[in-house]
Amino acid sequence: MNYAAARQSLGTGLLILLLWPTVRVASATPFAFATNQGANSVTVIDLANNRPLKNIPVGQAPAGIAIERHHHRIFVTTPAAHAISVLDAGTLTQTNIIAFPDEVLGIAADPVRDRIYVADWNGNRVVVIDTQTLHTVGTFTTGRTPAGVAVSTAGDRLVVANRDDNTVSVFDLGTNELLAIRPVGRAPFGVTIARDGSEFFVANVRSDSVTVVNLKSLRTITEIKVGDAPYAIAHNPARARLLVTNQQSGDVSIIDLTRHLTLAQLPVADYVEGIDYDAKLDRYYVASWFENTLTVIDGKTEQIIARIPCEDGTRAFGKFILR
Amino acid sequence: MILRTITLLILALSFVSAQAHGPSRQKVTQEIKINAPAAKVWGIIADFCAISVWHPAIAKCAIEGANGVGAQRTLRVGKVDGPQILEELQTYDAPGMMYRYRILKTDNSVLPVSTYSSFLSVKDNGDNTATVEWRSGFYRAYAKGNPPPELNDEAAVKAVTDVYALGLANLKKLAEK
Repeated sequence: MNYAAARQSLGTGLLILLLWPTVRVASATPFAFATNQGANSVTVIDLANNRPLKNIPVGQAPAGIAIERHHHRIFVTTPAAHAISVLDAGTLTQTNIIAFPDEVLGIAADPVRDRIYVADWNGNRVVVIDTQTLHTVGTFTTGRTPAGVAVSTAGDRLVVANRDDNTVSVFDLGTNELLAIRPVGRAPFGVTIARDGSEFFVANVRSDSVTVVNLKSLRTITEIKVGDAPYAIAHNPARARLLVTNQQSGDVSIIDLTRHLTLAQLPVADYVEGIDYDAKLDRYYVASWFENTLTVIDGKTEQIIARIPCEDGTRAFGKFILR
Repeated sequence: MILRTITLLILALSFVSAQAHGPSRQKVTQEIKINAPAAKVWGIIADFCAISVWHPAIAKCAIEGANGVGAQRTLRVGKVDGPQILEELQTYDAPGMMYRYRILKTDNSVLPVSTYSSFLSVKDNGDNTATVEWRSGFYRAYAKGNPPPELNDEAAVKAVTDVYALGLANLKKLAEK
């Protein structure tokens, strides 16, 4: 529990806990936070019962999301507002707004340091923000139109998709140096790093493919064909699966990572966007921008088991599950 | 000769490839109830290039390929030598009375959008009426930050909304004749 939440609990006593126990995020239950572009909100979903708990008003047209566990903060990019909305995961309210000169979209939290990394869509850079002070503490120069960003679990690597350069930039977060710029498919967007840091996966919107790159050697392992206009990727290491959202074909490609091939394309909804995976529940969560839902896919059967209503324009671009 | 080259250059610039775009996709959904059988309404729009017949803003349509996935139509907006829009059929479902198409190239003076894809469908209401839905997802055409007003998100949404309203109203008029 952070300082603000602790103070509130002390100030108002036990009553709040008794009256609204479900509206406060407890660490035992996983929650999903889905950005709703049209509704200017974030829907909080209790993943134990797949029910929406609350819609938190945020800045205009929220898109990207990152969850920072050290201070229980949720960071939401609002490109149209040239800002980031900062939410408190304890009180489920917006507490701060960080202003930028330009549009920011992709965002990722550092699992080790008190930092988030934000892609400046127009500025060819990734901005580093201290999650305690909310001040900018550095920048990384990227290629043109940085979109998705990802940080390795160990906190040693940052990977950025340079959408209009058809490349990725890989940075060493220990030395803050650029390690390599590697060509991928056309218009790379979402990036996901394997949990063990061995490889990363890039969704190439205009070549309808996913590029698999070895994170140690930085060599491309393979490029796998998926559906129409892939957007984001979830990795399930236990089952050796990648699930990839395809915006234009409105489905999710299920990839067998041991054989590097697409097993199926599961129809979900128009314009599926963000996707995340919860290992304990063994479920995938897929944001549907046109249908305003978060669709739940079972990890074992690889079938849809629930559709959770959100608000208009659900995107959830980033890692959006808090456990 | 020089003048002709300049004219061609301007044309080439205005007929832009729909690739770079802003960060947030926009959506437009419009529905209209038509007091005519669904089959009759579908009959009017089933041919991908019939849009020049049923949409008042489209002066001319030329199609390449059969009326199915991959067919490309070039639209002329306003007049027969007006601004061009190049579109491609992505899906075509005659029994389901729907198709999906995307814009490959547009002219920002009439439709300032990028990565535009839309569905047009006819639903049979079962009482000799039909509901037509036209919906799309697209980005604004201006790729960099701080777009001018005529190329921002609002301008893109307004342009598409106006196109749909005009087209659906006329489709209703034609079908109810």
